[in-house]
Amino acid sequence: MNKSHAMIFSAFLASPLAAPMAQAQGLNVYCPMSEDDCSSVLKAFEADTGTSSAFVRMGAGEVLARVRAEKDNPQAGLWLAGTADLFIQGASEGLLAPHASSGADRIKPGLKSPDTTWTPIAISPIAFFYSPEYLEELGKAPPQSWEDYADPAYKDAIVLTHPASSGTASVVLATLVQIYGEDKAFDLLKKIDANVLQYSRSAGALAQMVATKEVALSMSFTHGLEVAIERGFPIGVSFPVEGTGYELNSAAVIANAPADQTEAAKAFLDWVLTDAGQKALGKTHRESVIEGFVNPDLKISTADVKLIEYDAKWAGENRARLLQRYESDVRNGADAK
Amino acid sequence: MTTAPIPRPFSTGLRRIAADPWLFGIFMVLSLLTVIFAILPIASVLVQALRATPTETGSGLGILIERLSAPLIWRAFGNTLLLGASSALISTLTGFLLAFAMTRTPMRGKRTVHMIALLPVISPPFVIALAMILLFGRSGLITRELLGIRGANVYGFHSLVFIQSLAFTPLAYLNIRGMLQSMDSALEDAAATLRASQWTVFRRVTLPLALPGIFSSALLVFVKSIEDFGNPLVIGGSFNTLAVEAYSQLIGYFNVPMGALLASLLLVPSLLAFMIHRHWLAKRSYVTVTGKPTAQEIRLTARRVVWPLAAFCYLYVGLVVLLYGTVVWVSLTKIPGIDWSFSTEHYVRAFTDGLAPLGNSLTIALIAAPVATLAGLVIAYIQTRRRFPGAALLRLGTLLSFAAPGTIIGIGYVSVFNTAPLLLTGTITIIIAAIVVKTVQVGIEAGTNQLRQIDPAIEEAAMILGASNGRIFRRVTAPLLRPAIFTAMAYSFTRGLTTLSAIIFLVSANWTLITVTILNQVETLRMGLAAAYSVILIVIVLSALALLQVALGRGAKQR
Repeated sequence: MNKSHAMIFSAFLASPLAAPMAQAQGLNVYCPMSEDDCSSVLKAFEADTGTSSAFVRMGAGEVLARVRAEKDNPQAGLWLAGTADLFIQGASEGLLAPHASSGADRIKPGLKSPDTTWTPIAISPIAFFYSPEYLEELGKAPPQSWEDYADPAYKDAIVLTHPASSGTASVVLATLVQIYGEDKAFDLLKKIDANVLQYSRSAGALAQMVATKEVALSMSFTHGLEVAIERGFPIGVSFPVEGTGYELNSAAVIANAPADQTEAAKAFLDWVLTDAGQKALGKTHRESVIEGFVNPDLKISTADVKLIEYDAKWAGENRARLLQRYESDVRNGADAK
Repeated sequence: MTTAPIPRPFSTGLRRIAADPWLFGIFMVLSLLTVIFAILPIASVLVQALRATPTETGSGLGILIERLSAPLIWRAFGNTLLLGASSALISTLTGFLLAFAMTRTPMRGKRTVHMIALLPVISPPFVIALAMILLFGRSGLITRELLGIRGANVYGFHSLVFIQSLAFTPLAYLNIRGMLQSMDSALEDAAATLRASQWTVFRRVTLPLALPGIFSSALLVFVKSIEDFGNPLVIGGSFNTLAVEAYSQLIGYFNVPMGALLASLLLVPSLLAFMIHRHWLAKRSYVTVTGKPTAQEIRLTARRVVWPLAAFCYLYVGLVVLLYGTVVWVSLTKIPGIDWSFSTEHYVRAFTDGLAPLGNSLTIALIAAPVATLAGLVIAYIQTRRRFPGAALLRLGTLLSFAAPGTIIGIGYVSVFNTAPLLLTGTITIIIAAIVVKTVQVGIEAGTNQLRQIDPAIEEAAMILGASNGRIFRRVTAPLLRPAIFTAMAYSFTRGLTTLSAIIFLVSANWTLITVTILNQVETLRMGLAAAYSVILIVIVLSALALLQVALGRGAKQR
C-alpha cells in the first residue's frame, strides 16, 4: 500500500464516522405498514398540520422489540399501526405514554381502547382468498367456513404465515379460539396444519403464491388483498360464515421520547381520528373505526361480512400463552414434514 | 501456532511487547474495540437467558433446566447441525473443485467462470426464493411445464441446503483459490520431477497443503449457515433451526430469555468447531512461500482430469446463470408469474424513486469493507506472527460476533449503544460497526491462511536489512496477502450491501437501506421491482469486484 492509498483509507475513516446521520426534522415514526402506506399517511399528516416526519419501516414485532431495547433513550416518538395485541403488550411493559386522542369518543363502541395508552385508528378484517383456477382443478367451491381449510383435499395446498411472526396469523389464532373455544380451536388448527405447505414470513409472498397457483388457499387482511387486486392478481376473496376477526390497527406515543417528539406524536393521534386523518388512512385500504364513516376506496365489500366481537384486550393478554400452546400442540404435535 | 521453522528467540510476552510497542498499541486498541463492539452487546443479550419471565418461578439454574427440557429446542438443535454440516460439505467441495480447476487446469473460459461463480455471494433471499419457486415450484417452468411433475414441493430441507450451499460457495471458492494461488509450486514441481504421478502430487502435496483453506472454508460456511435465518424462513418449509426459533421467540413471543437461550445454544457448535480447527492446525506447518524464485505454471493437462472438472464448473455456472437469469427475466416482466409480457417499467421506477437507499447502502458498504479488511488482516497478522498476551480475548470476541445471529447483534447494539457514554444510535457509525463486526472474521481467516504459507524468514530478512515493522507489513507482508485482501473486501462489501437482520434494528428514519427497500417491494407485491433492485445490486457488486481485481492486479505489477 503506498501513500495515496493510505490517505484514501484515512479519509474514509475520518469523515463520516465522526458525524452522526442527518437527524430527521420533526417526528420520528416506527411503522409496520407497507412503505407506500406509511409514506402516504405521513405525507397527508404533514399537508394538514405542517408537521414533517420520517419513518422506519419494519415488522410489527420488530417495532416492539426495538422500542423495548431503546426504552432508556427512545429514538422515535410515534408507533404507527400494527395490531392492538402488540400495543397491549407494549403498554404492560410501560413502553407507551398515555394520550387521550381528541377524537377518541367518535370511535365505534365495540372498537374503543380500554385505556389511553394506545388509540385504535383503523380495522382490517381477515378474509379467505383463493386461486379460482386451482379450485376449479380440485373441483372445489370457494371456502365458506374455517373448517373448509381442514379438508384433506387441500393437502399441501395452503400457505399461511406463522402466528409468532405475523399479525394475520396471530389474529386468526385468537379469532378461532374466540369462535370455537380453546380446545376445539386447537383441534381445527392441527387439521389445518396438516394441509399447510409452508409458513411464510412474508405476508406479501402469500398472495404471490396463490396468484401463481403454487397453492389454492390462504388468508390475509383485506388491505393486503386490495393491493393484490389492484396489481391485477387473479385471486378470489370470500369470508367465513362463522364470522371473522380483524386487526384493530392502533397507534401510540412512545414513552420517554424527547418532548418535541411526544408533542408531535400526540398531535398525530388527535389528527388521525379526524375525517381528514381517516380519509388518509382509507388510502391504505383499511376500514375506518369511526361510527358512520365509510371508506370510499375499497373494492372488497365487507358490508355483509359477519365480524365477531373480537376482544383485542383478551387477545393481547393471552397472546403469549396461545402461541406457546400453538407451538407445542400444533407445530410439534404434527410429525415433522 | 508454530508456523516458524526457526524457533523464536523471545519467549515471554513482555519481551514481545517491548520488541513491538507500536504493534502492541494497535493490538490493545483492537482488543478494546472488540470488547465494546462485539463482546459487550452479545453479552448484554445473553445474560437475559438466565432471567425469569413473570410467569416463571424459581432461580436461574432451575429455570434453565426447565427451558432446556423443551423438545422443540433439541429438534431445532439437531436440524441446525444437520443443515450446517450439509451446507459446509457441499459448499466447500464445490468451492474447492472450482478453485482447483481455476488454478491448476487450462480450462477454457476461466474469466467468465470466475465472475459467475462469485454471483451467489449476492443473494437477496426473497428474490432467489421467488426464482426457485417460479422454476421448481408446483407451477414451476421446469418442474411442471418441462418435466410435467405436478405437486413438486420446493419447500423444505433439500431446497434450503441447495440455496445455502449456493450462497456460501463463493466464500469457500475465494478462500481456497487464494490458498492455491499463493501456494509456492516448487513442492509440486519437485514431486513431479521425482516422477510422482499427477494423482500422487495432488493427494500427497497439493491437497494436504490446501487443507487449512479447506477447513477454514468449511468452518466459515458452517457458522454462517447455522446463523442464517432469512433462507430458512423463506424456503425452509417446516424445517426449524435455532436461528429461526431464536428470532420467533425474540420478536414473536416476546420471550427474550428463551430467545437469548436459543441464541447461546447456537454459539456452542460454532465455538466448538473453531476450537477443534485451531487445535488441529497448531500442530502443523504449511509454509510454502519462502521467497525463492518460482514459476507458477499450469501442470494438469490430462484430458480425463480436465474435462470432468471443466464439466463440473460449467454445470455449476449453468445453474447460477439459470437462477440469476430468472431474476433478470422477472425484473423485465410486467407481473411475474401472472402477466409475463415484457416491460421495463420496474427499472424506470427503480431509477426514478429508488436511488437514495442504494446510495446509502453503497456509502456504508464502501466504508465498512476497507475497515473490515484492514482490521481482519491486522488481527490475522498479530495472531499468527506476534502472540501477545491476551490475544485469546480478541479471538473470542471476533468469533462470537461472527457466530451470533444478526438479530442478537442488532438488539445488543441498541441496548448497549443507546445511552451515554456510548450513545451511537441514529448514527452511521453504529451500522458500519455492525457490518464490520459481522464480517471481520472472513478477513481474519483468509489472512491467517495466507500468512501460514509465508515463511517468517522473509519478514526476518527485511528486518535484518533495517526495515521498520510498519514497512515490513506494507512492503513485504501485505503484498503477499493480496488474495486475502480480495476475499475479505469482496465479502464485507457485498455483506455490507445485503445484510438485513442486524441492521433492521439500527436503521434510522433518514437512512433507508436497499435491502429494506427490496423487502418492502416484496411486501407490496412488486416482485418485478424487487427483482429489478436485485439486478442493479448484482451489477454494482460485480463491477466493484472487477475494479478491485484490476486494482490489486495493478499493485502486483508495480511492485
